[in-house]
Amino acid sequence: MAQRNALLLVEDNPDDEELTLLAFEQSRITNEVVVAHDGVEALDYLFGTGMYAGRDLSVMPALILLDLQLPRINGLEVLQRLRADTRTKFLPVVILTTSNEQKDLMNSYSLGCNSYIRKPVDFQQFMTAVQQLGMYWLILNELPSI
Amino acid sequence: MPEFVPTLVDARGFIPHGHCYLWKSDLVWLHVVADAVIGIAYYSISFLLVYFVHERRDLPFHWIFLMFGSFIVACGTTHFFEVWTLWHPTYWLSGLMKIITAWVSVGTAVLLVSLIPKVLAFPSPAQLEVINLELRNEITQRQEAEAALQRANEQLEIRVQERTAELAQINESLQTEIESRKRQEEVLNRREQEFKALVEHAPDIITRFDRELRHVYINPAITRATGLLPETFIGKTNRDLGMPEDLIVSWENSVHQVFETGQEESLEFQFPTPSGLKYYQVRLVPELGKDGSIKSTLSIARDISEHKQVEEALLRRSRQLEILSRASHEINTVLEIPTVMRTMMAFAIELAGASAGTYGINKQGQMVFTEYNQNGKIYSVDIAFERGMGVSGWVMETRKPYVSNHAESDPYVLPYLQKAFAFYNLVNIPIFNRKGELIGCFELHNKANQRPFSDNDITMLQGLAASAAVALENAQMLVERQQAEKALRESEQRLGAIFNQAAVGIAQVGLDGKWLLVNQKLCDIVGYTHQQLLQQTFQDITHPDDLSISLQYLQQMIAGEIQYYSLEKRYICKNSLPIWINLTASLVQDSSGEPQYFVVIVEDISERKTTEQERQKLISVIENSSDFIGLASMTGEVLYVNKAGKQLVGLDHTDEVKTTFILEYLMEENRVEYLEKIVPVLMNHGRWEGEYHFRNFKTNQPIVVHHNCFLIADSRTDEAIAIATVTRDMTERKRAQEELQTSYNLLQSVINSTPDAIVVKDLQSRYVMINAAVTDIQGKPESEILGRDDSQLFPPETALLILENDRRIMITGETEIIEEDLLIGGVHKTYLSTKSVWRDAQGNTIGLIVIARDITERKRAEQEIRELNQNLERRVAERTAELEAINQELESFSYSVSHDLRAPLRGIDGFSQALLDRYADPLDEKGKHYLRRIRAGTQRMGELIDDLLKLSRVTRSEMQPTQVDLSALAREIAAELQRIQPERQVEWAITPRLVAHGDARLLRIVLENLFNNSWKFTSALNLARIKFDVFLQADAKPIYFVKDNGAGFDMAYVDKLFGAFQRLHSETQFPGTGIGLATVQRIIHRHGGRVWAEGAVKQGATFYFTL
Repeated sequence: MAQRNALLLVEDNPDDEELTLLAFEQSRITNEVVVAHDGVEALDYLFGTGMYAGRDLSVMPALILLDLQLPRINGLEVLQRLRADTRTKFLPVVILTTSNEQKDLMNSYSLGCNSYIRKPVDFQQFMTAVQQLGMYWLILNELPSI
Repeated sequence: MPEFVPTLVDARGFIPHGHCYLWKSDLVWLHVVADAVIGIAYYSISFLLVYFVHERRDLPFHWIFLMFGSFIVACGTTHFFEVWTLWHPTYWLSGLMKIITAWVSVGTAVLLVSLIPKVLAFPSPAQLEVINLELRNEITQRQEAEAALQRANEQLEIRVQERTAELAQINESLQTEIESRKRQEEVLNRREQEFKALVEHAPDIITRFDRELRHVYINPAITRATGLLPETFIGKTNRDLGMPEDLIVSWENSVHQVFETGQEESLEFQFPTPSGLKYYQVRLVPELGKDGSIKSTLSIARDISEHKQVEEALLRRSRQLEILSRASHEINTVLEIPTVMRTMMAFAIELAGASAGTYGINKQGQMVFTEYNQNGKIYSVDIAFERGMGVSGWVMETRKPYVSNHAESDPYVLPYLQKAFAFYNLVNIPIFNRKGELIGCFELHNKANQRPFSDNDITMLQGLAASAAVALENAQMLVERQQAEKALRESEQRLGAIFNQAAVGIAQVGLDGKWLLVNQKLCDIVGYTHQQLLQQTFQDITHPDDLSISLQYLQQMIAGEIQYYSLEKRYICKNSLPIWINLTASLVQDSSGEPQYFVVIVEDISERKTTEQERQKLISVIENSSDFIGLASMTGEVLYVNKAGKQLVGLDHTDEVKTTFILEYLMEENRVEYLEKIVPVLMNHGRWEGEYHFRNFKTNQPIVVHHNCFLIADSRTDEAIAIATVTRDMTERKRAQEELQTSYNLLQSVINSTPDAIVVKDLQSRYVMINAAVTDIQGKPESEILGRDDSQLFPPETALLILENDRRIMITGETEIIEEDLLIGGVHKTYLSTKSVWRDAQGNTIGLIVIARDITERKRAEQEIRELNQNLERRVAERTAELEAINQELESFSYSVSHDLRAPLRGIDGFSQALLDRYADPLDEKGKHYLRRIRAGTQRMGELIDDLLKLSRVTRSEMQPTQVDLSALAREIAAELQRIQPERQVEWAITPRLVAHGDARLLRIVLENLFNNSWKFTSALNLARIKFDVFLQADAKPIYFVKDNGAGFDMAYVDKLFGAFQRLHSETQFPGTGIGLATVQRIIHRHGGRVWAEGAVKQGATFYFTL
């Protein structure tokens, strides 16, 4: 059975990356957090290619936090690709982005995201959101085994 | 004495006795006790004495004991007084008591003196002892004897007791038996009494016969039946009592039968009694003796006379009814009066059981009898009764039936008739018809002493009479009908002769117009046979032009408006030719006035009509001729001028004509010439003809005419009898020719002046007519064009094209409008040609008419416009693409604004927070405050960015207009606001069912912003009021508004309200970004509406909008 402990955070903005990690920390979420800084890195990690060549693919993240605005390959494309692959198609993906454009919501849900969260400006609120996210996806939610 | 009593009890003046004892208490008490004890003892003795006397009444001289008792009581009392007087010195009273005691004691002593000798006579105890001894011996002996006796007695006693017990038992059973016997006897007695009473009072005659058939018992009913006492019957047989022989046999047989068989018998018999014939039904019942043999027979005879009579009456009545019904039937089957009467008579005799009868018929007030029926044989008689004469006369007068059951002594019965017919009684029944008139009567006679006529008979006979009356009336009617029929037949024969041989057509026509009856002449007129005609209606053979007037008359007649009508009309004969007839029709109605049929008389007037018609035609021709036709006498007087003639010369009336002469119709200057030159020619040759001038009577102007005059000769004598003229007015024709020329010229000039080319070609495509335009186009004179064809005027290709088009139109005959590209003089031209076939008056194609318009210029202009349009469309597309690109750009701009502007903000906020959380210690309060300010700033910036995005989205998003329920939206928003801040007191007034056309999402944003504002600006109030409503503008367009009673605003800044980021209140007062109303305005503008506001500081604000 695949191991699922890690969290994959796909975030290009170093501020947001740090804040998110800070939020995890303060929310007592102790899972390992793998950070990918763009779509390519994220896909490399998931499929064991590029800089992650040879990675043990039996270890898959328990949750992917995916930003949409990403360099090289954007979040929607990452989502599309991982949904197309049997190894990753059931992985829970939460879109964590600044945009609340209707278009982005529509596209994300069309491609099969599990949840869509807009990053609030207020850090307190952001922390609350991260806390609830962790609680729900890492503890409550059940996943099929592949 | 009254003074004495107080004295007795008066103790005054005395000293109590105690004084005597010196009130030495022991002495006093000694006396008291002694006296009291003595008193009590005395009283006890007295009481015992009384008791003794009471118990021993046998004691001799007991009164002496009572005396003792009395004086001892008195002594006792004196002792009690002794005690009393010790303290109360009533010495008088105690003295009195002593006196009483003295008296009683003296009395006792005196009495005792008189008693002593008697007491001394009592034996002394010694004597008594001796006697006692003797007695004791005797007693002993006695006692022994007694003992022996006692023993014997005891034994006896025992036996007696035994015997007594036995006897008591027997006695008891006997007693029981006796009592039950008694009871039975009582019951029997009572029963017997009851039976006896029953029998004695029974209405039936109850008799007991012994074996010798003698009466043993008969109940009192016999007395009621016969008047004889029961004793008369006892011991006698019925034979002894004189029962009739025929009865006695059956009676005795029956009784013997009962004795022999022991079976009950029953029989009926009748016998005459003083009160008439009686019927009895008898039951014979055997009575058995103790040995079981038949001892006697009980006869119970019940009087059934009444029952019998009723039965007989019923029987008779039913028989009579049967006869009556048969009679009614039979009488009604005969239709001759004498037969009816005779039949009725026979039935009457049968009905009443009479021996003879006769009937009378009322003839002019006399009742005439002609027949007498006796025992079924009929004898002729001839008797007539006047009113009031004999029985029939009485019946005629009273109109009632008459019964005489003793004809011999009846004053109404004529004695000679009674003797002649030897009848004993009679009944006479009148017969009335339905109108109540007496039409006859019948009389029944009984010869022998038969049954009298009863009321029932009369009723039955009256019934018969009623039956006969009907039959008689029928018969009478038959006779009358036969007579009427005969008369009718004769009349019909006469009418038939008239009908068939009439010289005019006669017919009977149904209301529907069907021929019901036609005569020969009518058939001759129309040429149909009888049968053919009867299968048709008059409508079928009426000339269609005459049908409506015929039907109109017919309707009027049926409606009763007219009685008859006469009409000249046409029938269509069998040979399909019309024939004129004169029709006279009248309507025949039945007695109730209901229309039945028409009688029509048809007269052939075809000949007259033809002549008249010919003449009429002639006159009509002349009268309606457009020529002047006139007739004048040989002497020149004008007799007739037709309508056109009068009009021509200006004469208005026929009367005016009659006074004119021929010469007056001519111009004055022509008259001499006419007389000298024309009249001679006319007279010699019978005719003159030529151009001439007539004169108008009114204007005196000449009229150019073609004059034709001639003589009319008598057909027989050939002599000229009149001058006639047929003169034609030539003025009109001349003018017409001129007008035609003018019109032609006009047409020519129109044709020539039109810029369109007009060409007329013949069948060979040669030009037969052209207008000026053609010569212009061709650049040739007319002469070089007419007579030539297209091949000579156009290059070959163009000529071929024209020829093809021309041919097609000639063949199809349809007009076509076609575009033709022609090469004329080396230039390409486009013509719009209308080509149609040219036909002669008979419709034959004789050529082609072409009207061609040069549309070369127009075609070019069209081409230009088309090109321009295409250009424009391209430019629009380009512009649209540009705009789309800009839009796209804008969109990505706002997208990056939303994304990229917010990201750093989050960083600032997040790290400030981290700083506050983790490095709180090194920071002083000021430092923390600045960090908080940084955070507040970033958050506000975040809100501003969000609102800006909303605003931009409002402009960008596509409108999706639908029907939107604004009220529902408003309620939802209000509920949401209230939910977030439930503590707020807000009074909402949202008018229901405000429905508008627009984009639901955008309108929700409008209402959200306006409601949010109202909510926000009323937050300081205890009770906020927010209203959403509508009112109508002058053009009926709705104006919606949201009104609150909140902080309001200064109208001076009203135009700044709707600008983005424009705020009229400080952030601390009311938070907000200032984007809301800008958003509202954009949405309203996108809907093509208007938004404005009204308000005053602290007096609320109202936001209006239209859509």
